[in-house]
Amino acid sequence: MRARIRHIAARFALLLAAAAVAPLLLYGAVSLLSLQRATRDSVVAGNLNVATRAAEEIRRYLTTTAQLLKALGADLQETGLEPWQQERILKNYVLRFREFREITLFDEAGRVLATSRIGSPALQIPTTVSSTIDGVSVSSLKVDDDLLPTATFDLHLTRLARPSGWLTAEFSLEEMWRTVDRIRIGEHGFALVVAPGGDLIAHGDPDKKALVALSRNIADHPLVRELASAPPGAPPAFREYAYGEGGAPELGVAARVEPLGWSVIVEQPTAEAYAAATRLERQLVVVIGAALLVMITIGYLFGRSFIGPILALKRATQAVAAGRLEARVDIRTGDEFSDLGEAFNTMAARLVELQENVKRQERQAVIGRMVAGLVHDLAHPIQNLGNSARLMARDDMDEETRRSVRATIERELEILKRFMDDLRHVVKPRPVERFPVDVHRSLDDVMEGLRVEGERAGVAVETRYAPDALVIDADRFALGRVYRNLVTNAIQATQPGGRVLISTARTGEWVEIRVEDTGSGIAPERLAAIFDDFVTTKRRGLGLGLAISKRIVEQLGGTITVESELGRGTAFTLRFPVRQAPAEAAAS
Amino acid sequence: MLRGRVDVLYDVSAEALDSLALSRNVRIFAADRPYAHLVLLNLRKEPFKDAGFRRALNAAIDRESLVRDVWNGHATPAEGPVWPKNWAYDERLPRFIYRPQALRQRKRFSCLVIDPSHERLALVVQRQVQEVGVDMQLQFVSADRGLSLMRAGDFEAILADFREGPNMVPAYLNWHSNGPNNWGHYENEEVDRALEEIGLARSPEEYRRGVAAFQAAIVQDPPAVFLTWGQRARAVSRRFVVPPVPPGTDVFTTIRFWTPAAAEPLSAN
Repeated sequence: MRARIRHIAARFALLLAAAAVAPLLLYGAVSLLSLQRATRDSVVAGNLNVATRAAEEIRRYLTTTAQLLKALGADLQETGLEPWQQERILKNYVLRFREFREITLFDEAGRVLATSRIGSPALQIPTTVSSTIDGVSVSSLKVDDDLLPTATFDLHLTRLARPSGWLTAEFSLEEMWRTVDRIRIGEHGFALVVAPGGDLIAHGDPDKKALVALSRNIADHPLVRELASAPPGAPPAFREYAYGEGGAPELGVAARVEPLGWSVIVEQPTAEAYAAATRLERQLVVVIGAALLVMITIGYLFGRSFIGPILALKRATQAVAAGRLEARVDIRTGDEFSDLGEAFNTMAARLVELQENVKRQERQAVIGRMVAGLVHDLAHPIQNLGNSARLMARDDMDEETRRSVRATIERELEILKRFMDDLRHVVKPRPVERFPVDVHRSLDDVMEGLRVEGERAGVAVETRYAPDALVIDADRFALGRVYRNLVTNAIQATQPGGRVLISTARTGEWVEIRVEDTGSGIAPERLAAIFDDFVTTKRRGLGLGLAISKRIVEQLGGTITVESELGRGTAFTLRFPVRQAPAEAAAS
Repeated sequence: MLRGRVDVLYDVSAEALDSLALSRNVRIFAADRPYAHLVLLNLRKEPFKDAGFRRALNAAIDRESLVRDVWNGHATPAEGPVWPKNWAYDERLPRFIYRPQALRQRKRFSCLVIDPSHERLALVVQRQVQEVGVDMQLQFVSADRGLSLMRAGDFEAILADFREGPNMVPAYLNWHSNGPNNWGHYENEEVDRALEEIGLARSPEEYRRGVAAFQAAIVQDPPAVFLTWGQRARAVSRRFVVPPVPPGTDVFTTIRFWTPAAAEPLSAN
């Protein structure tokens, strides 16, 4: 019951939590999912924007370079300049546009016509064309001795629709590196540029510039692989991946530098990319958790306060049930519980009052019954004694009559003595002594007198013993009193012509002695109190016999039970443990 | 160095300096060098016998643009023959000022260039003097060839960097009429006297007076076209712990104090 009530408090807490926090949790879950998705979309969009703009900037940078070279080619071709004039133009170009390290003009056969170099040119006409931008072929990038990125731009000159030579320039792509270096997303987000074959040509991470110097090929990079298989003009790509041994998960986006096929990849550790969202998620989880905790606590406390009066009533009810009628409740909630508490206290006070009344009435009834019993039981012997005393005083009495009167006096005195013994036994039970007792012999000791008593009442007293001797540890005289009480009661409860049967049996480790009659029986509602003091179904007697018998039996370690049916008779069963020692000891 | 194959770069070019400085694996140590980039003129050759022409050449040089466009800011203008870090240098002394004036008559001379890293400097100087009517023909020669021609006096001009500091001894060697390194055959009594005064100075004041007289005489009668004071940049891998280096001091002077940062093999990166 206690656990169940506490369970109610938990239910209250859960109910409140479910009612108030479940929607909050649902909202939180939806918010978290939305936040994650929105953050990812936002970061991807932002990084893609950066990559796209960087790609466009690089494309414009390269296109401008190609256009510069084409403009230079036009200046050199169509103006009929002398070689020294061409050379001066080339030198001025190199000085004006410092990204040009060298510009050399070749004829179609590869002979040098003019160069910006003071000495011999380092460039040659190209043998293969890798990629072109705005009609100018661009070589693959290389890192020169100054650790700077350079590429060769080659413009095939034509005159009158016929090839007329090459204008070749070594171009420093340092500005492209600077463009890539400037891209910094958060603390650890960098950009890199990859050639179509996977060659790394720029990296914004200062720690990874060496990879460019080492001409590292990253064709196995997840985004590079994806871009390699994507058709030209495909939309920018993005994905999450962990690249390299022990690489942390990263979010990468890529945009192409058309038409060279280079790719600008912007990658950022996902932990950093989603840091804000993660922080918000944590805050949201903490807030929801705290709200849940607060609501559960409030629910629990509210539940406790709600069931507090119930608990108090329960405790008081249990106390009253345990007989502590002074138990009261103090409920000051000011609501129906207060009324209930007051009603309980009133009820408890009334119970005390009623109990006092009952006790008083019982006491009066017992005293009345005792007095009536005493009067009844003592009247007859006293009258007999009185009569006998008067007879003894007469002189005309023969000796035999005198002996008979004396016997009557002795019998009545014996009855009075036994009566007094019963009363004394009730007030102070006599200790029993336990010796091996042969049940059948102890029964025979009393049965002779009882049979005579039965015959006087017209009741047949019969015995039916078990075939074997039954020995128990008992007080022979106390046991005899029990037999006499039970058999006498049975004779008195049986109409003339009826029968009282005393039987014995052994049931396992127990010895049973059964006294049954064919009397009027006992009403069921009285059966439970039949062993109480001063309870009797007879019109005469104090009602102490069965109570004394029960105490004796229990002192001897046995039990006494009763079965009865109105109009059919009553049976008392005594049960004692069998004595395990040899039976001959019982002879004493 | 970025490839992880070397731990120290003796000289980082001005062009690579900014790029290399971004690397987290490398520390750059830059220091002013007592070397002047200049066009040494052979005064036995006709065009340079005229001190006015030589002053005009110096006035035609925009040294600030040289620092900016050629050296990416990693240099200082050479506005006189005395190294600015010299304790006796005085900013109030006469100096070469960019004040280009077209010559009444175009002149032409050839200039040898020894160091390929000076190509851009040579081209810019060529264009600047061209602005005032001087056609400076540039020609690459090897260092040995250049030195040989210089000693033989078989040159008109040479663009190179010459030691001009940190004290005044190099100035004596280069510009005194009896100086062993006076390849341009420069002779100026005031310069000689000033240099001798410096050499015999008995007090800082006398030394300063000598330096001032030397600078004033050179500005008035320049033996060369003074361009820029160079910087030297060293790159050292962060595998080494380098103790603090006093400003302007070459980091190599502390090399005996370098210690490995950690017992790890040379990085492959």
